[in-house]
Amino acid sequence: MSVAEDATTSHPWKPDVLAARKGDPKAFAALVRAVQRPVYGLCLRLLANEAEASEVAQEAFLRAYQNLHKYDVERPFDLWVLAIARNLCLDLLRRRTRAPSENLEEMKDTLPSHAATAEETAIARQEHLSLEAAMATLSADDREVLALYYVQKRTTKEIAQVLGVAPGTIMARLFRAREKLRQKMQPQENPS
Amino acid sequence: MSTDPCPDLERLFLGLSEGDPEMARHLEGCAACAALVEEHRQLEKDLLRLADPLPPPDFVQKVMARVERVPTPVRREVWSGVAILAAAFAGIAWIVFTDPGTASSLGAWFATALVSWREVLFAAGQGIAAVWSTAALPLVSVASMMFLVVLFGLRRLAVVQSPSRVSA
Ligand SMILES: [Zn+2]
Repeated sequence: MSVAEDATTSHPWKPDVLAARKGDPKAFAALVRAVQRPVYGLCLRLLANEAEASEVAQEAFLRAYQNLHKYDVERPFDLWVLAIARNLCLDLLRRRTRAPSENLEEMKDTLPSHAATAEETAIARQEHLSLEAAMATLSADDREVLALYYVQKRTTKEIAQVLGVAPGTIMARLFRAREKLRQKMQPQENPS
Repeated sequence: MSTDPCPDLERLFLGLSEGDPEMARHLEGCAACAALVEEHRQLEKDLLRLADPLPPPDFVQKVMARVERVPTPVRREVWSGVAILAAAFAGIAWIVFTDPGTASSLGAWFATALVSWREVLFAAGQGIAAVWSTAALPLVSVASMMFLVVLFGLRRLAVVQSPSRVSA
């Protein structure tokens, strides 16, 4: 395997980033296409509103484009954009006045659930909140760590990069978030 | 059977994930903790089945439309550079025209520094030293020096400065 091939395999975003820096819009569009799903997904999980998630995710890509010359191509492109998107989401959450629990019904409709059958959904509604809806009631700190680890299957090291914290703190955060989620899922403690 | 008191739940989980034998031993003898661990395991299995929702179909198109509307980053830098340079020159002009005292003392200081610097580097520099002691040339030197400093600063700004919230 040549050096160039090796660089492309380990840093698949690199050629597109270099081309986009020179002003190639197709290269930047390719980058957006490659990472749009996790970026939008994290925004939706944090904001629980499709329109806002789309708006903030677009803004994150715009900022990435404007700061492309400052981005270190040796670092994963998706993690870099995720960090930008996450900061924008947290800014918006801080400015938002309404409580996140008000978005619960909306969240149930916007996020796909693994328990897809009507019967299962009915049972879930009767006995306890669905997993997605229960997750939506957690704090942004808890939601982001659960979304990155379980939904996006990222390593604790990668999550630490996105959140800008020490990797050693991620396992404890994950446990605390999961424990809160477990308690929310208890039917007797949280009847819906 | 374990008779140890149950550890703090967080200690139990972190201990288990790090392979702490003490926590593993407690788990073997404690049905309550074992049930809790099992609940977490089940919850993890459910969480792993969740997927990111798909972005709207026109998402990439919308991003690219916004990208096309902003000036290219390179041009923005050039313009901010020009603005900073203009401000720097305005500052120099202000020093020169509003306060001749400052300007001449600055010029004299710079001339002295330049003269000694030149003496060190070019021992053979003969008649030029006299020209440097006039007021006009040092002022031009100050201006061009500031120009270089500003250019250097701009270059550093473009390459090094990376706000932590963007590059986190
Ligand atoms: Zn126990």
